[in-house]
Amino acid sequence: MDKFDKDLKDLFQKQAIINEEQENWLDHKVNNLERKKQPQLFSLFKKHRLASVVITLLFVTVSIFAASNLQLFETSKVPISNDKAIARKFQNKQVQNINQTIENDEVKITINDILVDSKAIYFDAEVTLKSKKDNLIKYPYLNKISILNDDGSKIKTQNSSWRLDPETLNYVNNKSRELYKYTDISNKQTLKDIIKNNKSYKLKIEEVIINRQVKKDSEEYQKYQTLNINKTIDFKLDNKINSIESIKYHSDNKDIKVMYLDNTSLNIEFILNESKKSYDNYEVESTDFIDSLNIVTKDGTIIHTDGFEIKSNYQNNKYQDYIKVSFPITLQQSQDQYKFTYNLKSTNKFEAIITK
Amino acid sequence: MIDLKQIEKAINNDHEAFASIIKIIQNELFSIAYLKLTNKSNVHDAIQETLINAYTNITKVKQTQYFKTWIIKILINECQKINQKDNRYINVDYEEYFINATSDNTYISNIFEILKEIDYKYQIAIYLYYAQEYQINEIAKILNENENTIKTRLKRGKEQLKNILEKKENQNG
Repeated sequence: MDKFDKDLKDLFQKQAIINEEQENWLDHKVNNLERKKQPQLFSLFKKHRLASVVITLLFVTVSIFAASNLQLFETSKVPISNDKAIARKFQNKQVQNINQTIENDEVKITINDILVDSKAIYFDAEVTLKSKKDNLIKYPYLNKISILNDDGSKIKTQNSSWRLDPETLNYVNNKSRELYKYTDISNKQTLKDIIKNNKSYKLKIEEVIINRQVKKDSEEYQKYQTLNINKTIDFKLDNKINSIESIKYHSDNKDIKVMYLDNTSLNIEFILNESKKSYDNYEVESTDFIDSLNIVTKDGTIIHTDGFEIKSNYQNNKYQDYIKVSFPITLQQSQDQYKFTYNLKSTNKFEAIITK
Repeated sequence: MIDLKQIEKAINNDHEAFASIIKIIQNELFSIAYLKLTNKSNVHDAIQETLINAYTNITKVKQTQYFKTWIIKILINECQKINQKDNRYINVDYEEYFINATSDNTYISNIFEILKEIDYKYQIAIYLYYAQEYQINEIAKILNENENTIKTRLKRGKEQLKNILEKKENQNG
């Protein structure tokens, strides 16, 4: 292998890391595989001619019966447990708890959080249908939502069209949780540029769509139903929220998954060193020790200094490959930058700047 | 590196294990689809079909160490099927899929974009050999070609890459 070969290998290794959008798309597809998997019965009976005849007759009988009663084919939807995927979608975003609910006789809508990143503003919303008259699988989601000024007028944007792009976080029958993402279709302007801190706005929700999934003759099809809502909630972004995007990482540091400031704490999620994981009956334990962790303001005032152990835990039938540590700190209005340093036993000294 | 125990679990219909394996090889899947296809939506179609095929047929994997080879082969077949149906050529932007990593070499902005400049049939062989470090006999199996063909593709692909890189280096002084 000559130098050119080696250089080429190095180049490939540094590139082709898929971006967050594709990663989320892939997660979503993988999570949905469980639902797509077809029953294995036919493949089992393929080898046995008599059995396949019986199955065919049974299928025909059931199909005829199904035509008169579609609900026969309803199957209960398995809740998707994807806490990790949710955590990933929330990383690199400012998160502000809203926790406001609007409801009518048919539906209850809760806006949990507003999230902002450099490209878009997101609403983490749960939609729950109140009525359970039948056993049909129903998947409700917000359809027409818009952001208005406090007086109800439309916010002025350079571009009139904003893309509403909901991403499923979690859903069970009659209930969904999604991130509704507002982004400029030209990618030139973000709502963050328009929505100012400490100013009130309204989130207007006009419609909820119910996607009713029905199975007929083994073919899935959807029926849609629209519920009119036309209600608003008030919100404003808190200026104490700080942007994760301003964090500067050490060039080759891979220990930190996410770091962000909220109103009361500096939160850090450490990625545990892969090589330290030991597999024993599906349980994984990994430890590392931070000798010292210092948080200082730009002018040198020490806010926090300590050492601690980080240890992986085992939750929801899977090992956690990161651990979240929160440090209660009081943010100082006069300070716009905090320096964060630590010595991880297994790695070199690390330093990052977090800016308000 | 995929943990073979995870593959065993996936073969036994453990969805979590399957998801964790896909997570590990997601960059490779997108890279291959990006190289093989020229239409953005087709990249997603190919990966989606590959996931479904792999997930529903995973019990057919007899030797866990060949799982990755097996799924790459499925993906390449899916890409070929799509290419046979759809010959439209639309430029796919690298940044649609990947983080645009900076390179130490100022004249190489992106090795994948350069790889797309060489002859189409050499691209995947070069990628599998240099990026995935597959042996020639393994690449031959994945691409359904004989080993000598792969050797020739690697040799010619490498020559073309060298020429392009040298030109870029000269242009940048």
